[in-house]
Amino acid sequence: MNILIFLIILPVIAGIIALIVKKSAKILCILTTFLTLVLSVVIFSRGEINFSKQWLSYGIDFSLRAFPFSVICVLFSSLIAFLISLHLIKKENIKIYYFILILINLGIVNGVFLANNFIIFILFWEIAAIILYLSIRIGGENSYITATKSLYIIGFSDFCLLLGIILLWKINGTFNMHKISYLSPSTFYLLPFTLFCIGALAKTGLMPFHTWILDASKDASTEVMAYLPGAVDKLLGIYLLVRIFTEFFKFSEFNFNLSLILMLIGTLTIIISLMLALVQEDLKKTIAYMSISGAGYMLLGISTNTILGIAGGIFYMFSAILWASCLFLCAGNIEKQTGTTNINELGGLAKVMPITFFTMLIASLSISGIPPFNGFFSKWIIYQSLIELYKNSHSSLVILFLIIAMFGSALVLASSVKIIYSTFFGNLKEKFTEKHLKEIHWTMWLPISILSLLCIISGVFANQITLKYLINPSLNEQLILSGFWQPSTATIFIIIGFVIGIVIYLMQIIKNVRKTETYTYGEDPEIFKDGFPGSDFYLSISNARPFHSIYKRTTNGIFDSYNIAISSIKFFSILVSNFIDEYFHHLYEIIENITVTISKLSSSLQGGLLSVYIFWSLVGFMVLLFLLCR
Amino acid sequence: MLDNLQNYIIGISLTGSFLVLIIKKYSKILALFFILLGLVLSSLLIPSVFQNQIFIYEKYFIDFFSIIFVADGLSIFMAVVSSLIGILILIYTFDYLKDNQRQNIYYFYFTLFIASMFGFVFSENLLLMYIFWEMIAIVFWRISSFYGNDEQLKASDKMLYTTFLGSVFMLAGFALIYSDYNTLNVLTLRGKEISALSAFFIIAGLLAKSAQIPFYIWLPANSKAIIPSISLLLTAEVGVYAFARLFLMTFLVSPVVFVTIELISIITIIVAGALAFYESDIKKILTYSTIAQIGYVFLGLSTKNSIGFSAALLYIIVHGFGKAGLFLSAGIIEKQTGITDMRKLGGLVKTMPLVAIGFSMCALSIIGLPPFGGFFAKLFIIMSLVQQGKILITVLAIVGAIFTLLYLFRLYNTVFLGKIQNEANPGKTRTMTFVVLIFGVLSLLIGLIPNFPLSFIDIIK
Repeated sequence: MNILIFLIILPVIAGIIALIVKKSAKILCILTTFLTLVLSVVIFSRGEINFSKQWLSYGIDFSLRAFPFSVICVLFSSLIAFLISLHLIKKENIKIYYFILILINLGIVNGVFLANNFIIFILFWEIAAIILYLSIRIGGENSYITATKSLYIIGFSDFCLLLGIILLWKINGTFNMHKISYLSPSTFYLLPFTLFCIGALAKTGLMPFHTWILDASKDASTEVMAYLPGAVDKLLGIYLLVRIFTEFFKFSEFNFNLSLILMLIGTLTIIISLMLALVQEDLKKTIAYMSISGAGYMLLGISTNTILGIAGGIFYMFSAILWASCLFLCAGNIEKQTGTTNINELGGLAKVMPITFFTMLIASLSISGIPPFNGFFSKWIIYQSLIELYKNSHSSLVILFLIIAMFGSALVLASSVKIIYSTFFGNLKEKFTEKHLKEIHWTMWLPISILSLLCIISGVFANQITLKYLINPSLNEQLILSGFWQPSTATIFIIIGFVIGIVIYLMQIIKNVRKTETYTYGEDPEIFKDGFPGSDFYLSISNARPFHSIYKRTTNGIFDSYNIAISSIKFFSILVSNFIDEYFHHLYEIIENITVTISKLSSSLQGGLLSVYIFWSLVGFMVLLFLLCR
Repeated sequence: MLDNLQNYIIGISLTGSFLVLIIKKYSKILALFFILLGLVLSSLLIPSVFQNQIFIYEKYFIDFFSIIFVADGLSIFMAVVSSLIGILILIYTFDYLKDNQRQNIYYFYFTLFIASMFGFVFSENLLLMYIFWEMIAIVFWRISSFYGNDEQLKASDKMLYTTFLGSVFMLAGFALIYSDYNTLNVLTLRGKEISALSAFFIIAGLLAKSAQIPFYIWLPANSKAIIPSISLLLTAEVGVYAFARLFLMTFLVSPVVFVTIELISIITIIVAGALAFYESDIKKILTYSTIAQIGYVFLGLSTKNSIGFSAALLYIIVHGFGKAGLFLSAGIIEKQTGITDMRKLGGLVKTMPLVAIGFSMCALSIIGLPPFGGFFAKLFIIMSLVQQGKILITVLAIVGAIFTLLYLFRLYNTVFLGKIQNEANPGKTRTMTFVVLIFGVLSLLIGLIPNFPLSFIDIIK
């Protein structure tokens, strides 16, 4: 047996065992995810591994291939699965199905990453969609509506991807993912390319397919959000997108307009989701919007179709997985301790939950692109790629995208300041002061600490670790970065700066500290007596004239492409039922009436009256006579 | 011993069905025994397919009419699949009709139905085929009117009229063939070119039987009671078999015929899919879905390439298992709540969790999601269409698949999830639930080991 098969089979079998022996589920989940993590590290050190076995006819072989990028994806999915199961293990009232689904999902997702045959790929890819449906459905009584919505959206995109794969098979004559011959731009590639992109975009949760993530953030539990839309689905979608650009549709004269369209989608995703993130009052929903905007940056980077942009996209994906999972898990911790994620009901938690506070702070700083964390470096590469692209193409649109993306960075910071302030600063609410809140169990803070530590490490040692071991092997190319940015040197400077500041503070060199009233932005100080609610931070934006009505309509779901699609399908089916179906019913009735009329006529001819019979016999006789004597 | 086993299969099941009628006391066991015997005997023929052996039995009567029964791969395949589905349905109806006074009559009809299916799939003379064809129609007419309320009687008459209209055309087509070649023997007609007119006449009959677009009206009308709904699944698949037998394995026809079939089936897929999305009665949704899925089988056959052929046959199995499971779960829901309008149902997963599991497995298979069998069937259909270069039709087929996803999951959600609207009265439905689960597991098994049916299908070609 090949070592690659273990990566797929081991978690799935463990999941099935857990399904039968429910008591063993927790321990089995921890052990298996850890084992998979170790296995993937082992495979990573071994380099490329191939495995192929004849399965069905028409070139559908069960072939697997491990190459650096796919193994890194496996590594990340196993890591996240391990951390999530660690997070869940001591949580009370947790359903055992979580562990089973985490296990099976891990095996299936590894299958997607390792598949070297398109059919095997889509097979695992679609099973992942079913597991997503089941995972969201655990959430609660009404979570099935969201689960179905996500299944509809993902299912639609999966069918599109399936068609794309088969069209590519028609063009190339093979299902082997590695042997795809580079297409020449003259061949028919626009339709398969679009279909592939739909598949990748919907899985990643980019516009216009993003709405399922938002609904899920409301209905599904935070663990599921941290695991699936936060991490695994991003891995899957971006993995496919990267392979689309670097392998499946790689040709010298790639149509630049296609790039521009995808970049436009990315930019729109960034700006719209962040504008909406500003005004959310729910912690989980804000994080969901921020994670969607992250997907926008990835798409923006990868669709530049330059090596720099793709590297930036991959780097951003790895960083985004770390901080998105971290933020969702922090939100989960807060929800567990306080019972709510509404930011107006929270506040002052920094004292009682210091570890959650620090991890969430690091993750938010990272997501906002503050140096020296990983968010800054990955955005930095994406910006560079956009500038390079502008130099080559002289398209002013690219510069526009760059400016919007940079503005988006500021909006992320604004949203994270809002959530950090409103959950951790200010005064603890009265109902919580009585409850004696305390820090959560160590199994729940360890995963988020690891995630935030990784955020720091991958940012500070970006050149030494992240680029060297993750990005360069994935692309098989050495990156040439322009500009001067050495994160580790910068970090040393930042630390030195901090130390100097602390020294100055401790030595109390500056004696005369100026004390003034708190600046209240010209507002009446009375209204801030009870603290300043985080939801009011950006009221001036949401109340501004053009935005107000747009925000209102978005909340009503008017811009939800899913609602539009479903209602148009309903309209179509009503049309079909009222016209086509009716028409066939009429047709049947007409035929029925004709038959009845004919039979009535013939029966009236044979009424049993002697005179009628004699009349007809005479007529017949005359006709015969006429024919014979003619 | 294996020589001309097909004659015994037909003979035993035909006589058996009359024994079921006569010996009322043991009608259940006899019906089970004879259909099981048919299944076992036709499975015994499977090894001969792998050895490329074909059994031909011929008895000459008059010039155009001779009794020819041939057991080749396709006919054995159909016999095994339909008797396997048949026997599971029969076990289910034991429970379903437990308190019915006239149940032995139903078992008689059902055994006769399976017997005439056997007769049809093995016979290789056009006139003989026509006789069994009408036998199927008449027996189904009686099954359909088993619960004799007025509306149901009208619906079953509608079915008989429509399929008879079709089969009259078919008979005309056979007559045209006879006037050209002076024979009705399918074996001697192999490779002969027939005129487009006679081809269209025959196709009218097939479409009427399989409830495709101009003739589909009869099928939804017959879905008032669950008993006929189950059998119409098999009836619809007969038409597909006849198409494969006559147009792919026997006659040479002009490509226009195949293009027509292709267009008709793609329109059927879209229209029936939209209608299923519009309806709110469980059984109507399932019948429209049946029409649409049979459309896929026709689509696969109409491509005339080898992938399309295996896809269509795989689809017959997968759809047979999946849709039977869905219909049977609808029957359980009807039995326990007395309601088939899905708007009045909800939250049934709490009272019947096993049915919900079986239902969802079958539904996923019909939609075409892995790891269920439907995935491979739909995949091969789409592959065969793309191989022919028919991109537009492929896109429409994908749209049809998305329709399937929409209406089946809407059905699942409203019936099994959400708020409990109607208290299910917990009757004893253990056997029925068991059968539904078996269909679900079979759908899963085909998806996990698709080589097993596919290797058999590859030999048939």
